[in-house]
Amino acid sequence: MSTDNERIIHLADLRRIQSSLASLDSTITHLDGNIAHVSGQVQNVNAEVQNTKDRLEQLIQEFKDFVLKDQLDKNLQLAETRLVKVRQELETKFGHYDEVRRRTTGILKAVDASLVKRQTIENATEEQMLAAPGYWLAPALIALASWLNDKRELADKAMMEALRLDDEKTSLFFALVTRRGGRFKASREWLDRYFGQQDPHELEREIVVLIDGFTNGIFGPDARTKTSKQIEAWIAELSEKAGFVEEQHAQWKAALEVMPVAAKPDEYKFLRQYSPTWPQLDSSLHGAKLHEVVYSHISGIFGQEVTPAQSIAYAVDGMLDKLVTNFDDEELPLRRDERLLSLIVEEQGNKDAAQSRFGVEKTLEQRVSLTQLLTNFAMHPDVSQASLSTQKLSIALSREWIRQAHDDMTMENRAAVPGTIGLAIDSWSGQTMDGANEAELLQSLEAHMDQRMREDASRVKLKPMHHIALGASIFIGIVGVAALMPAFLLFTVAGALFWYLSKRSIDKKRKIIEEGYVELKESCVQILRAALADTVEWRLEYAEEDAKASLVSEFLDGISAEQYAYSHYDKARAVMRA
Amino acid sequence: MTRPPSTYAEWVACLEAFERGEKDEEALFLMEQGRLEWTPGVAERFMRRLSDTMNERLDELQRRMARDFAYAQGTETELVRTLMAARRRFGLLHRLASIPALPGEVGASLKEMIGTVVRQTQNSLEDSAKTDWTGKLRLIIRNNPLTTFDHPEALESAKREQQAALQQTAASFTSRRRVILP
Repeated sequence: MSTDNERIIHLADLRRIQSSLASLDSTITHLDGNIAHVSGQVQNVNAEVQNTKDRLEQLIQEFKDFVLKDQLDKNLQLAETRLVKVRQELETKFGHYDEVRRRTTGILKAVDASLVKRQTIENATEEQMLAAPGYWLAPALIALASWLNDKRELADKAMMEALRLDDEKTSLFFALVTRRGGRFKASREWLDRYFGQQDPHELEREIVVLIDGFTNGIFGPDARTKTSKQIEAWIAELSEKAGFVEEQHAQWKAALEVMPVAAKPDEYKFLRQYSPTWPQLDSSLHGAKLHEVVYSHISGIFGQEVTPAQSIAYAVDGMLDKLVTNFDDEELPLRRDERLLSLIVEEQGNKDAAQSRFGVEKTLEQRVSLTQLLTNFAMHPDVSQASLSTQKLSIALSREWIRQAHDDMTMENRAAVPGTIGLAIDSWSGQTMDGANEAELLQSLEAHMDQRMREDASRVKLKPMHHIALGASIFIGIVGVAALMPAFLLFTVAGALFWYLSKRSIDKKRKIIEEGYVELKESCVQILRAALADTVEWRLEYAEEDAKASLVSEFLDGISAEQYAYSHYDKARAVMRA
Repeated sequence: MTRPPSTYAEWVACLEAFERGEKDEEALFLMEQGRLEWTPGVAERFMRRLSDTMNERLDELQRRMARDFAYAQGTETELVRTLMAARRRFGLLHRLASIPALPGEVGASLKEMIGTVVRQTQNSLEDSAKTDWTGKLRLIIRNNPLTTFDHPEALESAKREQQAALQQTAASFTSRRRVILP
């Protein structure tokens, strides 16, 4: 009975165990399928996360670009609107001065042609005095009209009033007017008076008219010699000041360094992206490219031919126009605003760049030193109102400082050139001097990628659970065999199957990792080759641009100040010193 | 420049030596055995370099030919020598365009470009020879055409000519006694 019962129990138990095993088997198969599915999904998710990260970074960059562009657009729009307002204000506040200004050369030309009655001229100038009482040019015109009409008393009175309002401009004005009329002695006396009021450390901006007159050969031989000596004396006086030479070098260096170099944003795109040394490389190449820019600027100025005015009268009229139009201090704050806003418009809304250019120009300072003036004439002739001859003379006078500043700039640039160029591709980094160690770097990159692949692949392995399951199932199988219960072997089969499927899944994952690394390695190798090609070209371009430094020095050595003071209108022969 | 180029830096060194006209044979020999990974970033730069080198050599060739013709002053031997020298130089460029490292299409288009230049030069020479009423100049140009620059025998003879010239130069320095005093 008991044996029958045991058999029944055994049969019943076995059936249950068999059904449990079948269920376990299907669970394992299902689980394995799930693991593979989840693993696939994880990989998809990883790829998507990477993709999303890239897109997010791209979006952030696009957003930053958008914000920057929007800001620049707004700055540009605002600057344009304000520029119109400033110009309107200039017109409203100082527009009536224009009428006075126009009369200056008008009177002289009318007298030349003898087409207007002297009384009309006198009346017109008196009317101007009523319209612009505080303006130095109004009494100066009355003095001029009275002089032309031989009314000495009125001329003296008007002249005194003009001198009271602005002594320097009045002196310069009459120095030019008397020169126009061929009164050399009077012209020299007015010039003496003008020079007497000048301090080379703080010169008025209108001195450009005097230097223009000097370089364009307007003054007579006497005045020209005097001006030349005066400029030399000023430079000598300034040079005695401690730190003067250093100041000049710094001033010229700053002026040369901000000269615009054509940018090529697509050039060296691999170095730009994969070299941490790129900022230094970019700055060094920019510095080297400046040599040609400086050379082109200077040689361009000297390459242009000065076309002298038809006669001394035309030449002086041009100077008078310039004197009366551009240098009135009352207008200076508005002129400064106008210039800064124009620079913002030129820089497409980039306020920092405009401010930096404005800071370097210093052309609208009320009083500046002679050397700053020379820098302004040479580098910003449009704003400083310098003529081509004055530009030439300024460079000739400053050539030693320019050369020294350029030499300093070259030395600094050469010293800052990176000896080794760093490369960082993915998680690998290396160094090259000139791109010649390609084989060595490729080897290093490949070794790095292989190492990473091995590390990542080694992380994907069977967990202890898998080994325990296999061990346990084998143990159950042994126990089953020992207990003469072959059904227990099913545990062993299930355990082995579970282990085998897990192993297969892991092998698949490893294969995916290896394939991924093969692709990554290939892509990194291509990037490295391209970055090394960029390096080779960068070194060659740098050497080529750097070699142009000597062009500047050689050109400056070949010029002298004496060459650029014209004597076009002189009738007398110049006597050279022995 | 001591081994066949395989990196971009080595290719640039060979191309620059060839552009300067220094050691043409050596540079070409190395480049013919060199290899280049034609990958993005490298391929564009290499093409730009190669094209610059070709242009520079073609310009130099034209300048030198014009100068040699001026010196020849109608002497038959000199004219033939000038034509042969020009043909040899075109042959060198053809060899550069034929280096195995270049992809087929690139090499083909370069060879076509050289062929066009050579044909234009030959036509231009023949046109200018029309002014010679004796017809002698035209005959010389026709008998020594530049257009055979890519024939194997022309390339071989150019090679031989150059080697002979090299040997002659070497011999002139070694075999002759130098008489210092009269």
